[in-house]
Amino acid sequence: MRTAVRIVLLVMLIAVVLPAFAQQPQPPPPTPEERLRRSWNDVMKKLVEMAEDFPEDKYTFKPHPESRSFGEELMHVAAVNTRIARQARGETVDNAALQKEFAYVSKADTVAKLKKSVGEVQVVVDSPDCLRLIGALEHAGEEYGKLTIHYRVNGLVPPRGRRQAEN
Amino acid sequence: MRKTLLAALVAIVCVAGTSARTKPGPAASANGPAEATLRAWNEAYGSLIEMAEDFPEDKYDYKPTPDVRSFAEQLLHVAGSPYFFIAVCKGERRGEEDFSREKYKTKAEVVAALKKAAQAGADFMREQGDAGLNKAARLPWESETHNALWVWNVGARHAAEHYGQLVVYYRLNGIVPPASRR
Repeated sequence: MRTAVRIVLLVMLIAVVLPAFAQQPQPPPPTPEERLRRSWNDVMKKLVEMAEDFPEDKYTFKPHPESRSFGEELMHVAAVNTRIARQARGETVDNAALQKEFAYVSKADTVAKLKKSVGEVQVVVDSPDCLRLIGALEHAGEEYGKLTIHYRVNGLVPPRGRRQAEN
Repeated sequence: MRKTLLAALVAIVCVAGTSARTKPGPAASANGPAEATLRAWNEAYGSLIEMAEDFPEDKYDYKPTPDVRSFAEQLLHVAGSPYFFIAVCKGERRGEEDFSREKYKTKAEVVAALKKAAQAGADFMREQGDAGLNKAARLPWESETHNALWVWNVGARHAAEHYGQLVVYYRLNGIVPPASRR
């Protein structure tokens, strides 16, 4: 009988102690909202970095007369961000007026407007229903992809490519 | 002796009960995050397949500059990536699959490889569901372990970025991309 009690106590002890060792503290996997926020912030950071990095004299470069120029692509992203932010504030957005407001003027203006738009849309990114940005996120990724080729066609290496080459 | 065996059996049943309670719950609904990521995946790969089928074969080796991938190499790069993401999710080492232009010589072969790859990624996500995609996974270039859902999220955005690049390849060849023609 004493042996039986010992076995029960031993197995119970293992049952309590083993899971504590097996379950090393692991951070919980990110929620879909956290994933979207991380992706969004990553793409916007890369676009702002390109805006600041690209030479101003090439800002009007277009791969084709019907394409947007480098500056116009970035202003397009800024306009999309601003539209999302304004709609989230309950404002009515006039698309024609928005196009005019985000017409390309200069590199400094583009960088400033892009940064401002990233700041304004952050309220939506940080909100609980940020998953509705998934389409805008994919669109921003496409724009980033386009601009990497604008770099290459101008004989330049995009900032991320330069970092990869250094590492 | 019989009492000893009985005691051991009771203890094992208790332990089994404890361990069963620590297992994760069942998969989430069909409208969960796995489904949303699958939609983004299908959209990005759908656009790429449309381009692969549409772009003239005689321009498949076009490169905007010598140090970047050609149109066909871009598509083959995107065709190879789902197998890499599947390996990451399974915690396996990636096999050295050959997605070179030397292997996929014709437009038809490139299109077929891309379609097969898009399907492989979509099938994996569907099979795993929300519960399966919640398992820990780490991309080799990231220091933190996330989950499989994050891996496929990165995969969908990766495809979208290449789509954006190929839009410029179209324009540089004086061709309007399919999405803009609609």
